[in-house]
Amino acid sequence: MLRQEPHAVLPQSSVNEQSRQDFLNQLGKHVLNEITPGNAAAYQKRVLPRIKTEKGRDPESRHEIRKEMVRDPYYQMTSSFQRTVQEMMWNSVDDTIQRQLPELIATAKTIRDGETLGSLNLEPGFEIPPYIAENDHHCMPGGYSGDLVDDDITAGALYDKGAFIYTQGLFGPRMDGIGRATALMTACSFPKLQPKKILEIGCTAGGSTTGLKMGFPDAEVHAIDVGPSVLRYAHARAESMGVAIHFHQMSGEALTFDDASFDLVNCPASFHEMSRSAVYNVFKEAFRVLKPGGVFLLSELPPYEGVDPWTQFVRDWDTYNNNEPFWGTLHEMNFAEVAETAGFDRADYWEGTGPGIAEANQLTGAVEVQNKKFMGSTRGGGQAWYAHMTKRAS
Amino acid sequence: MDQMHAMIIALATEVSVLTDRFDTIERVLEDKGAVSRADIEGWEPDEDAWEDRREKRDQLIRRLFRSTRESRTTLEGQDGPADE
Repeated sequence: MLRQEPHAVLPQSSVNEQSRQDFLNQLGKHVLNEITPGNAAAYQKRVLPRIKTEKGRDPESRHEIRKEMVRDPYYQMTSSFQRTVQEMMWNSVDDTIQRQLPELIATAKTIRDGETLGSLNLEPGFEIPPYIAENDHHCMPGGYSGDLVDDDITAGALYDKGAFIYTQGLFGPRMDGIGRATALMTACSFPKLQPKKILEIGCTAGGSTTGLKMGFPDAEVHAIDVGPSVLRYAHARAESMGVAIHFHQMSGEALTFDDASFDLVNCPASFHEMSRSAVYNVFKEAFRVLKPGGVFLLSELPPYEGVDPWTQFVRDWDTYNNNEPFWGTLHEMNFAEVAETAGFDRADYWEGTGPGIAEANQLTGAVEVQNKKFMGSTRGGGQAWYAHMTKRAS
Repeated sequence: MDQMHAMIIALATEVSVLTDRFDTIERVLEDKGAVSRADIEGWEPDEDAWEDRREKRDQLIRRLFRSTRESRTTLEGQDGPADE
């Protein structure tokens, strides 16, 4: 029985709500593992022959495949199930949150107003970038920037609780698996770095951030995001776990930190939520705030390069069906080139599935990782997280 | 589609009937002093109970999707281009 570890602001499901969430979780797994893979046969038996007949050749891109697959009834059926389960999952979590929202808001406020290990720094009048403000990423109601009542924490709670269900516990009971993997990977790859000051860009509910701090307990950790609701939640969560993190409402495209002030900058699965131009800007800002010899690490699912068009199509489902408009573009980007544009030396750029991530995934204790049954954006592709690292020249 | 709507609404109706009956049972138990609603709301499954429920849930889901899985195996078993 994989349960999320409670903390002061984690919404608690009632008996019926838990039943609903458990059922949707299991149903989603069944669709992904036993129904969705049938799309391969629909493609081979129906769609590919039609493409070959019409074009006189194999498809050259995932876009050509998608334009034909969306007409296939089996694909329409699986896509509808996936999207429906996704929406119902968020709705079931939202019911839990709204039922206890006043208490959660009050708890977060009490924590915030008391003596804190870290800090919460919100900017009145902050302008949320349109690529966040105008999209409900992964169909999360209100997205990352929803902020409907005074001192709202809904967006943070939705992400923390919903993502646990959505990833089927992949990130561990404390939702810190990616952060622990990041710390492990950094320590393995750069043993001399021993970061004293760390920045995390796109912290959302702070799951990855707390994992990172666990890996580097002596470091001063700063975390930024653009939505006030996620930040209020993240701060209360971290404080109640006894983890000192300084949370700031800030855009990665316009950091207000001084030049050369961080040893490590981490971007945990944030880039696929940003526009292409924002990605370039964040790289430039990361370069600016890194000390000489500092490391910029980002993690995402593996890029599309070198992957056959059919598999790319499978992995691209979220771009067109799950409110992830930047997903496809992100997975086509050449980060070596982006890093070089930002000022990093291409010779210092590395990407791949490192030992840290594989080991840390096992540390999360989620059995599903072993079986690669991840009801996330792999959509049956069975991928592990991928790291891209680069170092600012000493 | 009209027939499917009729079936879904009939199904939702029966779910509501079941819910009302559970509510009746809980209220009667509480009135008689046997079990309180707090007992029910506060009950949590142990590992065995959770595993048992997970298995039953899996069986329900399997029955729900039986014909869909069959359409997959039919599709996979066919040689050459397949009909829609």
